[in-house]
Amino acid sequence: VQEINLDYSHCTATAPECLTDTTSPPQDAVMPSKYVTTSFKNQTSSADAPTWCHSTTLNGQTFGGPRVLISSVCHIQFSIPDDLAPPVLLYYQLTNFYQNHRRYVKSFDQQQLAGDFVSNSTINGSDCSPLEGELQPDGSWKAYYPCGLIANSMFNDTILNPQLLNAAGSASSNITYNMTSKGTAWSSDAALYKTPPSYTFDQVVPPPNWRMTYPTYNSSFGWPDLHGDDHFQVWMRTAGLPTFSKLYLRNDIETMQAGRYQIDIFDCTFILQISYGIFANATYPRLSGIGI
Amino acid sequence: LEYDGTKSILISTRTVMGGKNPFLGIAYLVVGGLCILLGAMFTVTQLIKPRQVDSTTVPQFGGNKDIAVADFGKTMQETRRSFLLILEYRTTVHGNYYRPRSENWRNSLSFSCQACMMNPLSY
Repeated sequence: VQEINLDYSHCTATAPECLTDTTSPPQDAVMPSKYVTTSFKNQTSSADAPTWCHSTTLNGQTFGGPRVLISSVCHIQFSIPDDLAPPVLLYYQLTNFYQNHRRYVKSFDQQQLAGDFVSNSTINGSDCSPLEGELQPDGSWKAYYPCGLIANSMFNDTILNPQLLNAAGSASSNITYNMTSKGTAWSSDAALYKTPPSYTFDQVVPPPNWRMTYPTYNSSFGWPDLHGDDHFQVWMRTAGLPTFSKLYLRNDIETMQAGRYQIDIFDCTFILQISYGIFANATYPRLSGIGI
Repeated sequence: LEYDGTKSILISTRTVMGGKNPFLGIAYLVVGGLCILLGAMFTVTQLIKPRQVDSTTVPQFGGNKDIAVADFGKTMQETRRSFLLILEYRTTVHGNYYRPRSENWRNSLSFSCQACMMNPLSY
């Protein structure tokens, strides 16, 4: 098994800014080796060490599609010394994230996810606690859709397809290695989710961490496509251990040729978002990762 | 309190045995290494200073000063040899090896037979 692991947690904070109007890392912007783990048959020369930089754009990519958002993008270049035979799998790996927390694992509403109309009074006080819904400025109370901790803390970085740089045989243009999210979730999982839900747009509100993507539910943004969103379904299958990898993209057909690739990641403030005090008033012991 | 989780991307391939998971391999190597180490240690101690038999596991035949009775400092093999000698002596001199001569004798005999049950290889 050949693999490469690139830790980009500190990309926005540590990586140099890309040169103006470029989105590829300068040659000397080498990624610190502590952030890189590789396991290949062939060695890469030190000149081919991964490089990185970050840039800021207004054309954000989110799990709900493109949005006009000030977004930080992490650009990473890395070399693959061997051809990777399909299936080639791209995961995101998180550490110190306790998706197995006793209150976290059950914090969702299966009926609501299955597209049924679940009344506010049912959601309020349900397993979705402590993220059932919230008081609106007009004094009414509205449920979150989807409610609960799991959905709210969804991994919301957007990882784009790897680009093969200066591909041999082509005139120095980049070739996209097309990967798909289809088939990353269990095929049976799609049946658990239905879009659109039996709500009207004004009956529910998006959970707090989804507001960058869905400021509100209305006809222009539409509903999040839970049924067709493999990333969401993968996330909802909670991991048993605090260090876990979840499948994000895959290619089951083409070989990933040896060469230098660039991957762009829309780096949301995921880690900041999950660390706010969800369980601030809970009488339960808190685990790191959630509830700090 | 700062959250010290990390996030990374991981590009990987797969074999029929699944993904990369070195845990079992490492666990086997560690346990195997430990066994080799302990084995070597016990071999060395056995060669340098073999195990001594405790005097309480040795048959005491009160009064028979002419028989070499195992005592402190005898190895298991020496103890067995002297015990067999005693049995032979009892059978030839007294004719009836089972007859108890005293409380002492009975106690000591049952004690040694317990010992031979527990360690049949040594008898």
